[in-house]
Amino acid sequence: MVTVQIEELAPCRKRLRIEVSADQVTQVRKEVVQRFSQMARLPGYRPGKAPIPLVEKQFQKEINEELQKMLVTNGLREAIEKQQIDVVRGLGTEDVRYLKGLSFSFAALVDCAPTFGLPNYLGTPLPRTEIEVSKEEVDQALDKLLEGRATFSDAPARPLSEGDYAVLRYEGTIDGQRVKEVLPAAGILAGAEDQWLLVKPGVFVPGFAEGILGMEVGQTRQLSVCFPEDWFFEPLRGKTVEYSITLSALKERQIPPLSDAFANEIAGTDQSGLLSMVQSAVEKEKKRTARREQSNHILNSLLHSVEFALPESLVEEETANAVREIVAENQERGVPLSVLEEKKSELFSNAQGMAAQRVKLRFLIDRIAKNESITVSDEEFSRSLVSFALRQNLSLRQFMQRLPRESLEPLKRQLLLEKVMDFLIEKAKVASV
Amino acid sequence: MRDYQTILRRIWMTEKATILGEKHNQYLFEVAWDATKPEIRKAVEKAFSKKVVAVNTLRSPGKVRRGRVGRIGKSSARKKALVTLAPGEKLDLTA
Repeated sequence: MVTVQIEELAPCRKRLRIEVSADQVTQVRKEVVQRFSQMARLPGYRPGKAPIPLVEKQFQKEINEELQKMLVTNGLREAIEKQQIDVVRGLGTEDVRYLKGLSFSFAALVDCAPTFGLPNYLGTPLPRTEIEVSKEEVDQALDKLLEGRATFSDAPARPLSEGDYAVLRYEGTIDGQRVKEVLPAAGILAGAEDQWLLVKPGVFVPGFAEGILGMEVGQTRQLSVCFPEDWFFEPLRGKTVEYSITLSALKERQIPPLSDAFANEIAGTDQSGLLSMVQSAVEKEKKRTARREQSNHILNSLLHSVEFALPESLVEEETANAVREIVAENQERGVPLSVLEEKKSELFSNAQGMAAQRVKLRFLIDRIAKNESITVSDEEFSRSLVSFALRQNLSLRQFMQRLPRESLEPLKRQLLLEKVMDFLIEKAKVASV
Repeated sequence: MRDYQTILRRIWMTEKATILGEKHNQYLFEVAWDATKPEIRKAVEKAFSKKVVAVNTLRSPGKVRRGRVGRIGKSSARKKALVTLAPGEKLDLTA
């Protein structure tokens, strides 16, 4: 028998004062002691044969710890079921009181799902999106494809000009000292062997591409580069680096012509077949973009149509995730950690805003799914796992071994979001022309 | 007379001793090598405030034990006392 008192601490935070009756405590204690006595190894007794009072005396501390753990777990579960509270996160217990033979009481701090009225989510007005693939778009995609298959060959002896690919060997010095030694973190800014560079204004470091124009293969040139004050790599800001540059090779790019042979090589078809494949790929991409736009439109309209308080613990957790994502994304782009450190507060407030929106959306999507009885069946989930595995070129078994257990839930959630979005797009009102 | 703590070394707690206690109201103690039956009776009565009806004793001489490297030693000799309490009397061994 469990009695519960609820204290409202915040819109989504409750303190549950739970008391487990003395009878139930005795019953649970008996079960715990029984379990201990079956495993206890005491000198003079075979396992499981020691008298219970002796086991109780010997393992008093462990038995009490286990008992409290069980009573808290069972008591909290029973209280949540009894009061029908939608708990999203347990935040720990306090005021645990237990005396042998008496009732057991404790307070549990929990965050609950917010209560809110679901806005009208059917018939969201959507702008009409035309999926038409123009000839220019197909040509552009084809050019990209051909450029991707380009080959490079040594250019005939001539001065380096804009648009060429230069293979360079260079080394920078600051006040006569090698940058590599002074600033080991400078990477390719310090120097490199056989570094390829597409010669066009603005690439690499300021004035570098312009400074090497006219060089011939084998020639060495000294170039002084002054780094601006807002340069991404902080230690080089405002510094002047003397580069000694040697042009090792000059390369020209050869884009293969569109032909049946080329089409056969990359797609096993002829020229017209390749054209239609590219056209359908462009069309698919346009459809995906259109769907993404429609989804964003619906999500924005949903997010702005209702306001409600969110469970703080979930927002905090999601903020931590968002910060991790932002940092990883910036590091991938080459932004050094020191720059991120400087913008810490700005980054954190961005992450907080993003996290609040994600959590809000999660509750909205869950409610819509519940309202419309949209669920993700086990079959659908396994099918999506297989497709995830295929995308990573892994077997399902390998994929599951690499996937952390806690990632399964977010994957399922993502699948549910997609199903709900499909439903909302289907029910949306697309503007007539 | 000696202190009861020097006569009663420890309660002999094993599966077999527990069964004796449950079925025959008999309790096994390790006692001083030179303790006599009357001394043991008085010591138990004083230590636990219970009525003793019989005391049986036995001496286990130490055994020769060989270590892993062949070193020869001897295990301790000990004296055990099986104390029968009056009907209705019980010892709380966990206290």
